Amino acid sequence: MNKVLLLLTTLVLTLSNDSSDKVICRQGSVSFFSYTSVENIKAQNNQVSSIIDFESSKIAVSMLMNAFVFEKALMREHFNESYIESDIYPKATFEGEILDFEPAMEGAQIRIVKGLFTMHGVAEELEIKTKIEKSGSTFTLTGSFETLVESYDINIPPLLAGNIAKTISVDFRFEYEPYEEK
Amino acid sequence: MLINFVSMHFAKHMINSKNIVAVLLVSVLMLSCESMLEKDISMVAPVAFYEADVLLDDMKKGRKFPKEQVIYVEGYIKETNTKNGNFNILIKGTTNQSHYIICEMNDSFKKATLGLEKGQAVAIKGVLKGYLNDVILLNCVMDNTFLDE
Repeated sequence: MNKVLLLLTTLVLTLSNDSSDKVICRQGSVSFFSYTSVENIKAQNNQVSSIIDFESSKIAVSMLMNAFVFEKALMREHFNESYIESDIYPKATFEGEILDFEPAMEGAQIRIVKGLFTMHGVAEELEIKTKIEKSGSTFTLTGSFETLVESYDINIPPLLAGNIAKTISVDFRFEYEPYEEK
Repeated sequence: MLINFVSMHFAKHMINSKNIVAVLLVSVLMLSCESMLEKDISMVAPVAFYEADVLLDDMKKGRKFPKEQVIYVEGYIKETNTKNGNFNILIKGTTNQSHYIICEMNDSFKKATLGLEKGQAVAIKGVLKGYLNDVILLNCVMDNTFLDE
């Protein structure tokens, strides 16, 4: 009887270890802001996908550029057709590592996430200060950073240059749950 | 942006007949730019009808899909949630997959989605944006017109 109990306990522990190797976020939120004296532009994408692998502390983020929602249709149209060219570059991705990540640590930890952010065909190395909160088997990552428009080879017509900030603020929030691959 | 430019332009100049024509042109332009993401698509005819399994399979295999168009999907509710302040329905197919169809509902359809339960059959119209781990539909509305046929 004791042997059966031991076997079951081992099996449950093994299975739970397997399922907790990775966590997935299917509906992360990424928003960006451009503040100028002419106008403020804000857009939000609520369907951003991300996976964290605990063993390697690697993190991957992927988002569809055409899934950003703007206040005005014209803003979205300019963003997709003229600036980001989402038909040619449909996704933006981030691949990196959470430095000194402690997946077993309950509560909050502030960590640096370092990696390559690729948008509009241009890869930029970023280091982002990120708050990681663990509650049971769920993790929440939140943070913000600033990035330069000119880094991503985006052409803005001189007529509209005053409408778009040179530096864009980006906020993100990802809620992860255990990833069970079927 | 264009609208602001035009507003500033009018603030600086007297309104005359040429400007009125310009206003009309910009208005027409704005109306034509109102896309599937800004309007209620309840009355819009979908360009394609899918069962969830077929759509997921097509997207995973990289088959051509009607991007930015309104499509109709039938499947079963995997989950409903209110993440990021939106009402979302995750649809699954009949096969045991770890990929879903994420439907971000139009605000006016929040009430219609109350009381939905896991496993329930559902039919939704939405603007197809593409595929990451899951298929993404935005500005979705409930449409059970053909569900029981």
